[in-house]
Amino acid sequence: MPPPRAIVNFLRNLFSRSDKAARAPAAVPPPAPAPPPPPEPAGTAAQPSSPPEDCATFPLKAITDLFPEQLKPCLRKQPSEHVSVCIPRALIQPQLAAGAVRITFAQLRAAAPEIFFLADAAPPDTKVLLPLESVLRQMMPSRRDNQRPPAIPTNIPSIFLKTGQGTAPGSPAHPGAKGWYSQRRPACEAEPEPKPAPPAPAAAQKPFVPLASERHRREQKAVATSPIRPMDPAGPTGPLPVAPAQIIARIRALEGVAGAFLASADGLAVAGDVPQANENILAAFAPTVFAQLAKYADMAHLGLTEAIEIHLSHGLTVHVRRTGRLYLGVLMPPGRPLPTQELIHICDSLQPRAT
Amino acid sequence: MALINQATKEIQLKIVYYGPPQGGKTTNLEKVHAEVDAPPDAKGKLTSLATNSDRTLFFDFLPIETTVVRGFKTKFQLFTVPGQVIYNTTRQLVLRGVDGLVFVADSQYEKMEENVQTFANMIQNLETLNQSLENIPYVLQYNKRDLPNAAPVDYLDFLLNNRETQVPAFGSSAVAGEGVFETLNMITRMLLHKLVTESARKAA
Repeated sequence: MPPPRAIVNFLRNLFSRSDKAARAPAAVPPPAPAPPPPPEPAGTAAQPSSPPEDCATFPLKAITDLFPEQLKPCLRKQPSEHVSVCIPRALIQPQLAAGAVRITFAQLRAAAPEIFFLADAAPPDTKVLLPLESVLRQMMPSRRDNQRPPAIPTNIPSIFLKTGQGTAPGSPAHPGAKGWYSQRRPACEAEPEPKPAPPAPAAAQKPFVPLASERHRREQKAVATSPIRPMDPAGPTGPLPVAPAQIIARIRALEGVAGAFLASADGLAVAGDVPQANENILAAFAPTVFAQLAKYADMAHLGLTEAIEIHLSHGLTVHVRRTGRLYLGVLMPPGRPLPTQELIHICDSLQPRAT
Repeated sequence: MALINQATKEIQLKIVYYGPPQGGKTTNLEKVHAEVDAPPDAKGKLTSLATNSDRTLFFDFLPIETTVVRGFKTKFQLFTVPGQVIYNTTRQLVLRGVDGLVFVADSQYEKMEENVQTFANMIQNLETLNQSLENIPYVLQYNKRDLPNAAPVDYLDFLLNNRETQVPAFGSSAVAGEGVFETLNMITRMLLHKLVTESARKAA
């Protein structure tokens, strides 16, 4: 008469468990009413020959507390604080630079007493987080020892102060006003004049179309004729052929224009005359908004974006157009058509010259 | 890229605060804006586009005018990037032309992986702009040091400050205003140093 199935299963489990225990003894005895003995380091089934010092020990509860939702049903019973598992350091070490350490559910089951988990309740390759705090207590990595020291400029003092800590930045008495620079040379030596700007290119000397109003004549007189210059003259932009303030003055002279600004693709204000708005903020946001929309238009196969318009509730329209590496913004009052042709013409004059 | 405006005698430098979501980038700018000792006309308005739950939607922007360098007024434009990964396009756009970076790391244990991923994302985004972190001054700020679950500074250094050249790193609690100005001052000093050094090199 064949033995009942339950007895067969029991015997099978018994022998398989004892076989497994022979290969990889559990890290700690299963929870019992009596006080548990101290954790006994042990290798895992994956690495049966690992000596204890090659393992890091973790409270099992600290690991099960970090279980993802999909693994929580696999827990047969909650481990007590005293149950711990040993994980080979070789599994942990390579992951330390990632900021998180994970093992598979199978690796955890191999290291932990089986009593805590339901059999085959989850895919064995499901990742389980190890508590980083415990990891670092046992194996804190260190930086490479051949690092170059940080390049901290010692001759430049701090510029920004909190309120109540001293003189305001920008005021002459502030240590950051120019002290950091003058400290680089003997005190008796006068601070040199800034290096003169390179002579304005021929294109910049060309007279503009005369501006209509007296106000614009004043503005044109006021603006400097030297062009803006990116920090790297050999960079992709090159010097502009005209002073940006002159461009703005020309645009402001067009009929109906309520304001204009020029911004770099970086979001920095190049020039502007926008009495009713903040030029810096417009310069910071307009290129990014433009680039964002242009990207989406391109993704939607709508073609290249040349200009965008923002219609505000009170009727004002902000027209932003890309011109080379700069962005030109024009504010138009309600009901006034944009002088598109004139703007395109002016934009053409903003194309950088080759350097 | 620093913008030198000969006409208005202005230098503009762009500093971007980069870091994992909810790490304290916007708080840094808020603290600078609230506490910097500057004349009213030198401190711009802090512009922030955020969701109802204070998550940065687009980016934050704070312009500050400061000291005079060789007769030029220096303007620092402080930007943050949105921390959430879905706004990576905006991060790339904000990074364009960056002069200096502040990486605001979250010190909490559970944020270490995000710190590493965001740092890698920053390098990747710079590469798409043909920029390299080796050529851009940057500072690390280990924020939220006041929290009980803050990871050791040594580990943050191992994760984020383990490149060939060590960079300045500051512990901070941006909410309390600690470490905010130290970080800002260091990056501005490094930028000004680079500006002067490169100007001298080009003049030579």
